[in-house]
Amino acid sequence: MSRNENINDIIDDYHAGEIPGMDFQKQLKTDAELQQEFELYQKDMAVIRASAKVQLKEHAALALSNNGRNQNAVFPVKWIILIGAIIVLLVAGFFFYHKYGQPKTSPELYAAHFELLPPSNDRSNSNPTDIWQAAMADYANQDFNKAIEILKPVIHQPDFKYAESGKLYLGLSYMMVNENQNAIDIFGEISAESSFVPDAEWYMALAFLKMNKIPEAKAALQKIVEQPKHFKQEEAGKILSAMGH
Amino acid sequence: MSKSNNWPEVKLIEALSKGGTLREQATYFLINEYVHYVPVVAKKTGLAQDLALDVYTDALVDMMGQVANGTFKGESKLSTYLYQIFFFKCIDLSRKNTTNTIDYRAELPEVPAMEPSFARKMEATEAVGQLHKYMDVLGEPCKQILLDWGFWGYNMSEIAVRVGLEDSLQVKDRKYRCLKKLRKLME
Repeated sequence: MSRNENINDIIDDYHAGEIPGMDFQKQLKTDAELQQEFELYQKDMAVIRASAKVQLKEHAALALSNNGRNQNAVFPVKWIILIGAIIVLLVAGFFFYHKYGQPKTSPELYAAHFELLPPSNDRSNSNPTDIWQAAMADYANQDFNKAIEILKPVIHQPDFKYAESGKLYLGLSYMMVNENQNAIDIFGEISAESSFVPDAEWYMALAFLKMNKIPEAKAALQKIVEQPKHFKQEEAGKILSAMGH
Repeated sequence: MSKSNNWPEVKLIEALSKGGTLREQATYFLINEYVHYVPVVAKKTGLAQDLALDVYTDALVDMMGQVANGTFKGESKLSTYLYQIFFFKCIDLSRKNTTNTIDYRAELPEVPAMEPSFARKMEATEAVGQLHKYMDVLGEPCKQILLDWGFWGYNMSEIAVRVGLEDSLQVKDRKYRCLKKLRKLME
């Protein structure tokens, strides 16, 4: 092995970390040829490192550019998520609105609020007429056609003492057999002085709802709402709200 | 170069210390992982981004060297260490035209005050752009052999496989010839 080859091998070993730095430094101090070669080696390394830095910089520039693109891509992803969330909320809102929030149909409102008035049990009169008793019996038995049959001919008779209440029960019986217009007509006949007027107003409004006569139903309900002492004022207001009024 | 997402700190340090494929992978991982420092520090120090990118690469190579020669003792995270070197180098550069330069190494607890090496002095006095051109003039496979050996720390057998030579002896011979050529270019 030549002296040159030997020196190069020493430097190679130093480069590969196979010679401890301290030992190498000692050798450098005592070997002028090694020192000279080592200076050249350091120059070589400076050039090699400079070349590597150029390559690394190119890669870093690319990485930075990709990084920027990724960061930019984050925004569309964020937007997509945001838009997606909005769409989900809108769909959910739409669903809930239709399921729970949308004004219900008139027949639905009618079904939700209609309660059949119990039959009248006139205890103030110790001797109720047979007609009235029979009508109430049929009404109680939900035989509304028979109740209509009994009440319809008598309510306009001057001597029929249950004319006003008879009109109310006749109207209710009409409603129960789905003759709603007849019900409305008969409710309308109840005397303004009668204590059954609030009931008649309420059931008339419900009859309009049942018939899906929206403007008439709203007007009838509004009339109730405007009466602070009306026993169905609050409920009428709720129906109007449910109708989107 | 594929970017591995699974580089625990210890593995990174080990890879940078060992050289070869692992050092190369770890280096590219670090570049990718912390390249976002560049615009941040460039903005802080008022350097142009391209210049900051130069400094980032420089800081990375410095850090690699310090990990390899054991100067870095793992008292801070590599990312923190890299950021510190990078940041102070940028500040140093931004003050270059004034007399108020700072020695960033004084701010780094792990880095002892070092005399710049011969190679560093050379890099400081010659434009880096000029130095790397010598390698470009050498062409392939000299450039790759010298980079693999001098920078990445591949051994001769590994380089033989990488450049398609028969064995490590061929690589060794080729390397000497490449170095000779390089030195002639630099004369």
